This record gives sequence, structure tokens and C-alpha cells, in this order.
Amino acid sequence: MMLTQSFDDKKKELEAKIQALEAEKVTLQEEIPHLRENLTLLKLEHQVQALENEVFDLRAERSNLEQEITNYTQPQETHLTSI
Amino acid sequence: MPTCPTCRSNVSEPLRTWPIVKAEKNGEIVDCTVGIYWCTKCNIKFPFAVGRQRLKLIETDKLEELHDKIKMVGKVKQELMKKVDQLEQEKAIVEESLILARLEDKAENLKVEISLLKEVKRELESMIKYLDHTPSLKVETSKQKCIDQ
Ligand SMILES: [Zn+2]
Repeated sequence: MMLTQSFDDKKKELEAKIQALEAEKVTLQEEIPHLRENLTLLKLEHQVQALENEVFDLRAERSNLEQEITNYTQPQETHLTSI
Repeated sequence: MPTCPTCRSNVSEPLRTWPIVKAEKNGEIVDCTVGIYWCTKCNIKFPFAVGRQRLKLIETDKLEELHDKIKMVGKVKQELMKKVDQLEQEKAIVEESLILARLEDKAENLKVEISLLKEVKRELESMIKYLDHTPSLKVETSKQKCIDQ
């Protein structure tokens, strides 16, 4: 009787533990896909940002080049007109 | 039930009875009661033996030996029954420990699964944290403002 009692107690204890672990597992299984989605969004945001940076750099380069072209073409014109 | 040898009808009450003990050829002794029955239909009397028992003469020593053997077998039977009880108890204990072992095994497997899931979660969280706190976004956002202007 004593043995059965302790077996029942132990069994109940283990079953409760298993129940808690299963609940924890379910929670983690639910959390992980959300985290994956968040990470994907963040990566996309970073990708967008990187592309925007590249565009910014290219625009700046284009602007510099345009400025340079302007600088080179204007003195030539004055030289020509002075002749 | 005695039956009339002529008409085969049952006759329940004998007219008279007497015991008979006779030795057979094989050494057995037959003990029975012989009755004389009367069939009222045929009006005939016929004998019929009832309570037939086959007996054997046995020496007293052999009979005592047999009694001793019976006692011994009884003791052996009791011991075996005790052993069976004991084994049944042991079986119950083993079954219980098997149930507990299976439950413990299940809990251990769940713990391993959870630790793997936690590891995955931690990795994802650290990657998110890294991307969240990476300075590029803030610096680049200010750049973006310049472009927009
Ligand atoms: Zn008859």
C-alpha cells in the first residue's frame, strides 16, 4: 500500500512535469515562427537600407561628376569667347 | 436408476438390499449394494447393483507413505503459492518502475527538445538584437533625409 501510494505520487509528479514541459514546448514552437518572421522583416529592412545607401552614393557621385563637367565646360567657353 | 431388463422402465424403490464385497481378477475389490427391484408393469423381480466402488488392498506402511507424500505435496504447493504471490508482487513493482521509467524518459526527451528550441530562439533573438542595434540604420536614415531634401 505504501509502495503504491509512493508510486502514484511519483507518477502524478512526473505527469505534471511532462504537462509543464509540453506547454513550454508549445510556447516555444509558437514563438519561433514569429521570431523568424521578425528576423526576415529586419533583414529586408536592412537590405532596403543598403540599397538606399547605394542609391545615395550613386546620386552623390552623379552630382559630383555633373559639377565637374560644369567646371570643365565653363572656363573653356570663356577662353573661346575671349579670342 | 435401476431399469427393468424387459420393458426398460425405471424402478426407484428396491424390495430389499444387501452389501456385497467381492475380489476381482485384477486384484481390485468391488464394494457395492445389491438390491432386488420389482417391475410392476412386467411383474418381474430383478437384481441391480448400486454404489459400485472399486477398492484396492494396500499395506499400512505404503498407505502411510502415501499420506506423507500427500502432506509433502501440500507443503510444496503452499511454498509454490507463496512464491507465486511473491513473484506477482515483484512483477507489480517492476511494472510500476517501468511506467515511471517511461515517464522519466518522456520528460527527458521533452527537456532535450526544449533546450534545442531555446537555442534556436536565443539565436534568432540575438540576430534580431544585432540587426536592431546595428548603427547603419540610424546613420543611413540621416543620409536618407539628405537625399529627400
Ligand atoms: Zn418391466
